[in-house]
Amino acid sequence: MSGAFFPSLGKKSVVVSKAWKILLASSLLAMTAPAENLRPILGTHEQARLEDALRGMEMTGVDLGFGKDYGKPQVVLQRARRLLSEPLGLPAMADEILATFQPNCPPAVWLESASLLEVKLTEPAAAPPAGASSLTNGLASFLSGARRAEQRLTQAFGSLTGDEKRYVAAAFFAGTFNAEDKADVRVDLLSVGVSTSEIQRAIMESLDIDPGPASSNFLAVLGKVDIAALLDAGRVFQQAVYEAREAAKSVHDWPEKPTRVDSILFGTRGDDVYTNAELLILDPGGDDTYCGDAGSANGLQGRLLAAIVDLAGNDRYIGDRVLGPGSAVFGAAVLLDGAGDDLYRAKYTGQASAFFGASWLEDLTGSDVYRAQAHSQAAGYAGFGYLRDGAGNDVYDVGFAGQAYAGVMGVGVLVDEAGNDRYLAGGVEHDYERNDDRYVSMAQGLAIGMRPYAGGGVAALIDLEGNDTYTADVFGQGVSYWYSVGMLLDVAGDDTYSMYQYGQGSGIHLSSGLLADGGGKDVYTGGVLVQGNAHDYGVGMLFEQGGDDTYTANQHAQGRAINNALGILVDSAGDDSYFGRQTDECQGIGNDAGEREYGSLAVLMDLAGRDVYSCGATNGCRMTRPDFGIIYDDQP
Amino acid sequence: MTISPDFVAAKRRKRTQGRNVSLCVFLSLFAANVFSGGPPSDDELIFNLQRYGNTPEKREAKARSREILVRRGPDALRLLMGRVHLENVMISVEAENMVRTMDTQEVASVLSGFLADAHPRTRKLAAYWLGFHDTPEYAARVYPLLEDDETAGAAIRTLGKWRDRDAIPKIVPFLSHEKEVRRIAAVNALRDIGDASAIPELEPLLDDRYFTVRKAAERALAKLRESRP
Repeated sequence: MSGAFFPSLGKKSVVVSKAWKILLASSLLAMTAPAENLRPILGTHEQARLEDALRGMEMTGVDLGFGKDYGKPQVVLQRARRLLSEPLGLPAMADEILATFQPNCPPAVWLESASLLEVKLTEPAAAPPAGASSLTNGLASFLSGARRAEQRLTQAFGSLTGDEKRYVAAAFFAGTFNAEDKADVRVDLLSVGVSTSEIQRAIMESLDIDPGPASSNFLAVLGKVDIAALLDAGRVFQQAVYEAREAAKSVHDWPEKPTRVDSILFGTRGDDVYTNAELLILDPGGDDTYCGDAGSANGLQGRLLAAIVDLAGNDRYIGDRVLGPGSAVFGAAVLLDGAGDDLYRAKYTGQASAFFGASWLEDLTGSDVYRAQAHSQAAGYAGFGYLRDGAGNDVYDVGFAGQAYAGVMGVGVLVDEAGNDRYLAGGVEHDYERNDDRYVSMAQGLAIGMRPYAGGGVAALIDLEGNDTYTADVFGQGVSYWYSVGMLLDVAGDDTYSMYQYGQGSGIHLSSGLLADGGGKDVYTGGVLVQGNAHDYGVGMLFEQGGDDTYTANQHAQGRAINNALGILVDSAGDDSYFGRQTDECQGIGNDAGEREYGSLAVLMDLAGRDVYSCGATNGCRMTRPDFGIIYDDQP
Repeated sequence: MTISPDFVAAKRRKRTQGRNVSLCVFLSLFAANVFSGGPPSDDELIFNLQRYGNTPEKREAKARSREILVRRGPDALRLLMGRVHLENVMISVEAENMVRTMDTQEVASVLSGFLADAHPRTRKLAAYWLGFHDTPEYAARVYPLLEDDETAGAAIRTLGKWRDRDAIPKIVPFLSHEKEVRRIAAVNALRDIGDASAIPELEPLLDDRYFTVRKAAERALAKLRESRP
């Protein structure tokens, strides 16, 4: 695609003013420290008590770095790898992520996403919209930015052939949606821009009992992507769409019917329906519907960029194809929704879904509903998916792989600023051969690699206020798998976390997962491997900073580490209850790792309040436990 | 992001697309015609055995393949061992299950044949699984694996399980190995062999950098001191 979207409004270079540079620099400096209302996740008091707990086991902080980095991934984020030997870097990393994403500062978001993916952005940050710009100037600025974004995307994927792009897309979507067993999926995937034969090839490759060739082929393509250029494109385009939004606010006379001016489609104040791909849809209000190709970027079909700015109304964003509004594949998508109670629904993907792409979704106010099948609601795979929701009581519902999900070279971040929100993940794909009657969630701060060939990325679900409910089944709520980092950070409110297996601060197979809750009377319910736990050279941590909390689980929970892993649960305040049904497999306890015959390190620390433990620990105890762990309780 | 030179080299060596497709078409025929005709081939059995059982048909084919392979005993284990070098965890899991449930002499007769296999992963698993069975007569064939970093850990463990006193001088150097897991394997092996002469060699490990080694050494020393006359 070159120039098709940009016929006439002319160029306007973005000038980075000195004042803006100073403002940006100062705001970034301010972000190096945790935000005002947040203590560090692992505070100095907690750290001192942890060292004391370790002394109780004849250990020091050095012991936390016992060997866990025994894999040989060919593609790996060095930070994910380093956390295995420097595990206290995990809460520090969570502090950094929270400090960056809590304020709504897009330049910092892009810098952090680049930092997490270990690349450096090269494009200068553009000045923010000065407000009340004229429509002509604003849109000219938008088009200029869109051009630059397109150039950066061309650079990002310049080393890939069309065949290679379609190959990885076919492999990814056929695998994600099980095209092998579902004929309707095989038909629907054609809408992505891949052919029947490419889908068949992907299925056939997945049937090979040797996963090596297919994995190598996939990663070889991924390795050709210029991730920095991709993020640059996303940043430039997001900034450009902001310019357009500011310009739109100055418009008083909106058309009576949707009107295209050059490559921008102007909506009306009425209830409009958009079905076609557009570079930018600007809509002032009304209860609008976006479906078809509206709002999705797909470089396989020449739509590198797609944006929607909807200023008001109760809108519907309906993904009736594989790529719904807010999906980006070999491209960049930006969706900005102002006011209204909105419905986002995707048959397959959407809502800040990035595969070899960058996708940005902001919904400022309203009680919104997000529903999708998979790889949605802040999902990044070889790219960055970012979803930010402002005020309102929101519902997030995804089948699997969403609500802050990161795959290989991906970052997925979901920030919900306020409201009593509900997060639900599961109910679509069974967890066959492990828990046949349960479902995989892979969500709510889940990062995963391609074992053993590649590590995963970084995922963070951040909820800043409200009494929230998190429900998942298998893999969720601050968990990671294979050289990845998954986090769930809930700053405030009386929250409820429930799930079955692998989560609530869990590191599985050479990976790091964390759940941190800033306060409130919280309830944690789980089955197996939950609540500050780790398995197989993993690092899992749960930090609870206040409130009277209740922890309930069946097995391998509450500061539990198995198979040479590190599991930590720290509850800093409140009268808490710890219920573990299998008392010899819960609460500050390790194991001897079967045939490996050596221990793990597990810590359950409660630093205040009158607490109850099902294993018989008492307030004020220093109870060492087998292979090797401790329950460390400070007197009320 | 790091992409290793090994990966680049592997990519260059990758099989051609045509070969992949041909193989996969071949394999897919198994899926479509499971046991529809005569007895299933070896490849069919393994294909169905390792497949993710996300449909009733796949689970049925998997269960039947497992049943047939288990009946075939050592021959089936040999088939799986011929493929355990692949990064396919299901094949390894099924092979290990067979190793754990089959007769010792049958297992040893198969696994010993893979101790010198061309694939390091196969050699490693053969040595490791041999240690599940008390077959010290194969010790001399395991010794060479101590020289290879890929297989040394498995060899150390197995020689320990066999209480092979002749292996002590070969294992002791691993107590100062740079890899924590090798030191642990050596400590545990010396504990299993049960020769108190190793006590002086083990004592320095009480001051190891990591608790994993220190605690293993404590346990080993306690056992060896207990058994000392």
